[in-house]
Amino acid sequence: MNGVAWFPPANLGAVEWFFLAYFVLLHLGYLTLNILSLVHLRRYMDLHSLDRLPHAYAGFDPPISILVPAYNEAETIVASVKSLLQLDYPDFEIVVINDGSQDDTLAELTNAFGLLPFPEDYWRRIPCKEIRGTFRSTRHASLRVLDKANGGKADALNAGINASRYPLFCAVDADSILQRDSLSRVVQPFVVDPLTIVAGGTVRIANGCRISGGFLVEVGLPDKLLARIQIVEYLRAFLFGRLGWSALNAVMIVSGAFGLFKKSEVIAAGGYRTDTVGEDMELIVRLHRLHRTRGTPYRIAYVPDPICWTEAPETLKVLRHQRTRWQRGLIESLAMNRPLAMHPRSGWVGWFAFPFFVLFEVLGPAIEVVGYLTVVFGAAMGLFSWGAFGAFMLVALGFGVLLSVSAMLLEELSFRIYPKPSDVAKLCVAAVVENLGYRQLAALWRLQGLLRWLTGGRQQWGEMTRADTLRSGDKAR
Amino acid sequence: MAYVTPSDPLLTFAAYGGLAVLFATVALLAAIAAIRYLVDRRLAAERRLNKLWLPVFFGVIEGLPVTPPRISARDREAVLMAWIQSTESIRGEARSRLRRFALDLGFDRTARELLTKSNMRARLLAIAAMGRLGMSSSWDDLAVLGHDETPTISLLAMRSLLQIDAVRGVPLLFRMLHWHAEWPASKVAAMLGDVPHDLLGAELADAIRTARPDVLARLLKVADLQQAGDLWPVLEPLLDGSRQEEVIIGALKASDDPRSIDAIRRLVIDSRWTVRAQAAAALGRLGLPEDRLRLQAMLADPDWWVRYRAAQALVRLPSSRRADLEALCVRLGDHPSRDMLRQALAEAA
Repeated sequence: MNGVAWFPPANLGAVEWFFLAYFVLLHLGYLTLNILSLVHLRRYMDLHSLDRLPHAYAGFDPPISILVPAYNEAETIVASVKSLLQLDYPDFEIVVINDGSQDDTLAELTNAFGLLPFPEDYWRRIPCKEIRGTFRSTRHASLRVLDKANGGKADALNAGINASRYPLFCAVDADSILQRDSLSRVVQPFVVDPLTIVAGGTVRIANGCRISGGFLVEVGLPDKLLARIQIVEYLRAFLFGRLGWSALNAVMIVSGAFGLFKKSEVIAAGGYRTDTVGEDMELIVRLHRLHRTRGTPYRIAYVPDPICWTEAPETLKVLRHQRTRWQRGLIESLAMNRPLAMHPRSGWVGWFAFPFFVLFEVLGPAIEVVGYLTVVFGAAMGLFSWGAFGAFMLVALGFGVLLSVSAMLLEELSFRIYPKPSDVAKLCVAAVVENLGYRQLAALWRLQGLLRWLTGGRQQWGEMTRADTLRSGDKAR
Repeated sequence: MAYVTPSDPLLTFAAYGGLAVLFATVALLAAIAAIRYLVDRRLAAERRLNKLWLPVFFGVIEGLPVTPPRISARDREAVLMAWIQSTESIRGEARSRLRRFALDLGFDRTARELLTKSNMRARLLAIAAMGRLGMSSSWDDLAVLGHDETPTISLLAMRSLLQIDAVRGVPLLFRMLHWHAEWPASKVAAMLGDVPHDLLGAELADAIRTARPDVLARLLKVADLQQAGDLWPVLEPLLDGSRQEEVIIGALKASDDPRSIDAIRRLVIDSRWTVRAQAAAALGRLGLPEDRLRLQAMLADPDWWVRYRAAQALVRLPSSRRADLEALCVRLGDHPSRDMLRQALAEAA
């Protein structure tokens, strides 16, 4: 933000130049990411241009354990597991971890899949809460269910890792919708590069899409503007955020909704931490830290193909909860891995990505909110001209619109998920409208996340309330 | 308002910056509209060409007389792509007919032209087409591309070489593995899927015999995935406890010959748990009734994976009877070995 450049003369100088420098750095950073993404995405699309041919993927890809942590998911868990069982991949198992649900999650699973107690010789490689029982489906040999005492999502994932049989595990949210070929796509970085330890995929928003049999069958736009704006946000975050960082092997976030991990690396790192609300990001930053500080080569990859769909909140209350939680998770992840920052061996991730996240993602909302307040206050008090106010708004909001529109351009150059031109036009409108109120509100929520982190306080998983369920049947939303 | 004037350099900077951003945004929106229009037009053309050409290709596959439509120069790339798609799922005489038909249409010239372009998509299409067209005249070009540092290009070129001439291609592929440390064994194994097993087995045995240690493990994985021919003579010396860990594991996985049983038995007491676990798994495939006690002892191994593989092997041993193993569970009492055996029995149920 640059708005506070128009202070009274007594305050001009250092403050003015600080904000100018901040503004320039922020947009130079985003511009660099944008250019990197453009180059990377173009090459990726070219190299995968023959993927539509049959036999593009080998039938010998490594087996994968899919881990599905579930807490009070009685309404949706059966449909989720049924769709996972239909994934198109040569060899995989599904481990559902019932994390001490208070509802009928376990009973629903038992009835739907004919679960029977299974005498598992459980190997506790990563500490986790008590395992009450292990069950195996009588209908699907690849499906097991762990019933454990409640310990949170991270603890459930750790329990699942302990029980998994295969060298790669895929952490999936129970309410995620995967493409049938999602595993075949996300495993490719592991196949082509033995140094790969994590691969994340692109998460898209399912609101407005038609879901049938647990799979997305038709892409559409939601009616609500709030959800459309989040589609633009996701495009920005994934297509030029993560893709740009990926080119530098500096991806700091792999969505908890869908990510593939090399099990031995995660176990060696100690598994997921249970004392953070951002366990997914923390694990990635920790893996970077451990490998960088030890000087061991590795790769954390990002697959830009849209392979996982999730439901976005459609009310401000739920969205606020989500964003404050994400912000807190981000700050915790960075704080817990401070030694990565500017470590002599930390490369792009320690010298560029980490400081970028601290400066622009952690502190950015605070500076942004202060900037907006100063401008409004200054204009109201007559401290600077309306011309200055207009110039500030033009730059501040204009850059926001530019970045969102550039993400739309990347989408058009690559996957073109939204087939109707009218949908693209509506998203372009959302990219503009997003900057007129929503972006400021989001900055405020993220500032609240920062304050919550500073003041402590605990947040558990399961608090997130969805506006609707995606799997309760065939539906267009 | 008195504090800041339009002459303030920061204000001027902001105003010009804002206008530049606005202009850039409008330009991007125009680019989005233009790309949407152009790509939609291209996709519509592809659909039209597919509708026109796929029935023609199907007629050729079926051996029916067909009259090919005229192809304009700008459509040749799309028609070539449609032809490649048609060749992927067919074999034998039908594939030969389709290849002759394509050569009559001059697709080989199209492929050569595309290979000279700087556009990556066009080049990949050309490489794929050359293999399916059996263009032996392009062997040297493809062999050069087989050295490309981009795995997608080098692997595709290698696949085309195998399609042109498997007898020359297979030994070349195994030599290329020494150049390409990044070529995954799974992709190589998939590529070799169409090669006759007798040819593959002989060449693989040669390659294993002469491979550098860093390539050996990948070759053994290919051997495991493809299960090609009699590899026992070359695997035997590799099942030596003093060897590199991943080589022994690869050899154990690839072993499917009863003559390897003594070597496997020696490895069940190896100091490395990874080797012991793989030896237990191999005993499950090739073991004899007298290996039961050996596997039973492995149930007390300190490593979970060794216990697990030993329990699975016990259940799989041809001579094993479920009732005997259940009785063994009872005899083991509260010993940790019992839990693993019970798990393996439940898994096999």
